[in-house]
Amino acid sequence: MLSFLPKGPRATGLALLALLTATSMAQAQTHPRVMSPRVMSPRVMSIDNCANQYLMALADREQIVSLAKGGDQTTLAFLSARVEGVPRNHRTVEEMVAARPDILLTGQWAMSAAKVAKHFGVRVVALEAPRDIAQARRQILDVAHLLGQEERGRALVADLDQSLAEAAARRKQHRTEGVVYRSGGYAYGADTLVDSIMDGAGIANVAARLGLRRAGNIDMETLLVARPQVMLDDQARDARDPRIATDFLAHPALRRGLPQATRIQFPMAYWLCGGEALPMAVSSLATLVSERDAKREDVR
Amino acid sequence: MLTATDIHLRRGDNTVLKGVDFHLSMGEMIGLIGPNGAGKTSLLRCLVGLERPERGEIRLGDKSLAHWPARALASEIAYLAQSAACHWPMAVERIVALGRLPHLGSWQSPAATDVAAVKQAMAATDVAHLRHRQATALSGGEQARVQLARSLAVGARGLFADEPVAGLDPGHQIQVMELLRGHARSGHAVVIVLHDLTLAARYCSRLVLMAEGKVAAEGSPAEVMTPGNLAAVYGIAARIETHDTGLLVVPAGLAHSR
Amino acid sequence: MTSLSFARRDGRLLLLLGLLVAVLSVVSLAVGPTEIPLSGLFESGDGPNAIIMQELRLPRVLLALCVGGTLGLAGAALQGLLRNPLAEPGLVGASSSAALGAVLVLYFGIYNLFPLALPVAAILGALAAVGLLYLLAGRNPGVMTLILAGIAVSSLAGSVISLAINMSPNPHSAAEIVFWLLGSLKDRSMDHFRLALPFMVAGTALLLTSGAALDALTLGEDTARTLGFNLGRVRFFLVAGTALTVGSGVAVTGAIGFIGLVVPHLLRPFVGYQPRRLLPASLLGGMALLLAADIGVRLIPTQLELKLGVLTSLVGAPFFLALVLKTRKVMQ
Repeated sequence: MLSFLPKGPRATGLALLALLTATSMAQAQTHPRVMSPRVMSPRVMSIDNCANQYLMALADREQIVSLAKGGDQTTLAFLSARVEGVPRNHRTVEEMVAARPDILLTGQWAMSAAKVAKHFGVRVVALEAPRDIAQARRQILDVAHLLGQEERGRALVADLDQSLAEAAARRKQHRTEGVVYRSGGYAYGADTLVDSIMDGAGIANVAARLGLRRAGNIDMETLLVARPQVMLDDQARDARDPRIATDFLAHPALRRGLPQATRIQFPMAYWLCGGEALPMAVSSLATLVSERDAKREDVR
Repeated sequence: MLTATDIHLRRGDNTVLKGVDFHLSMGEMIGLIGPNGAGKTSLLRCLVGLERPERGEIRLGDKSLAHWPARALASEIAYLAQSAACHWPMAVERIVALGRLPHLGSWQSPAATDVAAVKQAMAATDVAHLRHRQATALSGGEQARVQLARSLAVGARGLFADEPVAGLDPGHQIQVMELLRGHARSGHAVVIVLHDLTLAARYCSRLVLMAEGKVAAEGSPAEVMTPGNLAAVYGIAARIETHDTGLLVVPAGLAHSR
Repeated sequence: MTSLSFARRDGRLLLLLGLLVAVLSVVSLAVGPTEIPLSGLFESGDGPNAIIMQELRLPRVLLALCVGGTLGLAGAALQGLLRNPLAEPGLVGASSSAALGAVLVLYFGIYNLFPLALPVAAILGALAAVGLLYLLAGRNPGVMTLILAGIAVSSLAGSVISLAINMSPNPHSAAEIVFWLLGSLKDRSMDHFRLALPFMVAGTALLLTSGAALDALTLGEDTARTLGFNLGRVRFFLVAGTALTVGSGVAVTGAIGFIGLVVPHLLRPFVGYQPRRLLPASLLGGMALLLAADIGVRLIPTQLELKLGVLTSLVGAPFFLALVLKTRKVMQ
């Protein structure tokens, strides 16, 4: 099994964290604070995991009223060191009313909070989950504009474009066939950010080829016949996680039927949101795939 | 065949049997009579091994009842419970065949002897023509005869029946009593709990009159059915008449002094 | 006079059910999202045909046989023991308690270290439920007592399961447990079959050997005792047999309800309402019904494959209701 770091998911997460912290610090240096009217910058509160990520990536610390609690293992995994000390909220309307931010950043499903917020004159911005990198790119710029941090938005997009370009340069003629496969047969098909990231990293999404649109289930039988070369496992677990009897990915049919398929563990946090993790996701996935291809050529 | 000495039985806080002696021989038909709560059913349950007496001993043959293996005991003693019935609408012959269970292994099919015993029991109780009917669809009298057939099919030496004629019309009562008497006369031992004193006096070879957990009187129907005994035990004034078919017991009213 | 031999009498019925099971097994092997020849079953090598047949469809059929058969059998046995046509492993709370045992083992990660703990915990859960039912409902429970005791046990087990799900640190684990609880034979492996089989065999043996005692029990407990049956032992056999089969079944497939209710009810008239003869018939009938249901979930076109336990409940619950109404008149 090929893994980003061979020490298991937790180790992978920590390594990523270190890497990302480094990049964002570098980022902060390349964008010195513009002494524009800071007072005008809106104060923003987030009640969504992905919005958390955007705020941490794009906003000034003073702009962040509070971040939504929870989801640290997934969407904030890269950021946890920086998140320390930032106020957290429990995603309740009460906290919003008490804090009175200028803007409330929510996910797609926060209708009730949105209604109350409008009543109190708080501007509500709902972040839809982007369905591909292009949408994510637009969303980054939109959020950056919203925060009055266009510079940082453009920098992040440039970052993303650079990693896409690097991945494209490294790409072989034959694309590797891969699939994100989760317990129960859950997979990401066409029209998803995951598909777009895979594409960017040089992986042809088998789930999309099998006709899956958006996320859904791919039958194990169907997958066995489709024979992906790479299986991406994005469900990092630790030993204490309750594991279900049907430990799906360890099924003998997969072991026997797809012995040639390389399993790559890949943190889910990479593609849950269209934010800061995106450039990292593209480049590290591309690296993993080319490393795999190199190894296979060695074997031959 | 069976001897019980000094039987004591406690149920909860009540002592329901207080030193009962009982003896049963082959060919006998003993009627257990007495008022409600006298301990008739309790004694019967002790005699078939359903209750273990607190004190006293019951011997069947040369062994204490408690030392008999369950299966061996089951083929020696047949028990017919009060208002016995089958919980599922099984066919009559199937129910009667249940009497052969003590003789068969878990998955053993009935052999020719078993089939013969079932057939004989159904003929004796006049239910052979009902053999394919569902027992639950039969009349009360027919059901009682099916249950009796079931207990006869065991082929046990002793038959212990708890109120086998309760709820039957007079015709069926007589039919059942005659059948039981015939069974006893053919060399088996029969013990029945009865409330109808005339039936008891007429069909039983011996009567055991119980009161408050003890045997109040014991002997032939003529010895037990005396106005004095009945007044003392039941508190009734009864006329006892000798009839060509046996004794006729007519409760005339409550006794004025007990 | 017709023969009293049940073997001869039921031979034809059992043969018919056996044939049905055989046909359904073959159909079940043939049905799936990919078109695979049955010959894949005997193919050697690691071609997709061989793997799909041997590692996915075969265990699915084998588990359907085991779980369906034992559910039918356990239902027939419980109904005989309690002399009540409404007794069923799911309804008396055995399935949910078994699920509780399994969930606890999964939740605390014991399964990861020691896989055998899963069926064992589920069996202990089922044992506790059937034992508790005996305490709550007594030896000859009425319809209402039985149902109420079952509800009490089920809701207790259900609430602890909900607690475990509620406290789950990881939403994906919680979702997995919820889905697993719905009951399914999908994507099980030969490992699951091997894990459950020894318990299934032991439980089935205990239940089948109790046939004569169940016949005797139709006459009531007292009469059964005077027919030479040690009721303590009989009860132990039946309760342990039910717990072993239901527990190990739930451990590998989740809770699948109502098979144990429907199968004995449908077959009872064909075996003359005799509990002993109902046992082997219900074993085969349970196999056939679960196979059919499992074929059904694959043929019913839904976005996500319908969970087997959901289908059996959808069909079984109205059946149960009708049976309650019918039974209420007969035995109140």
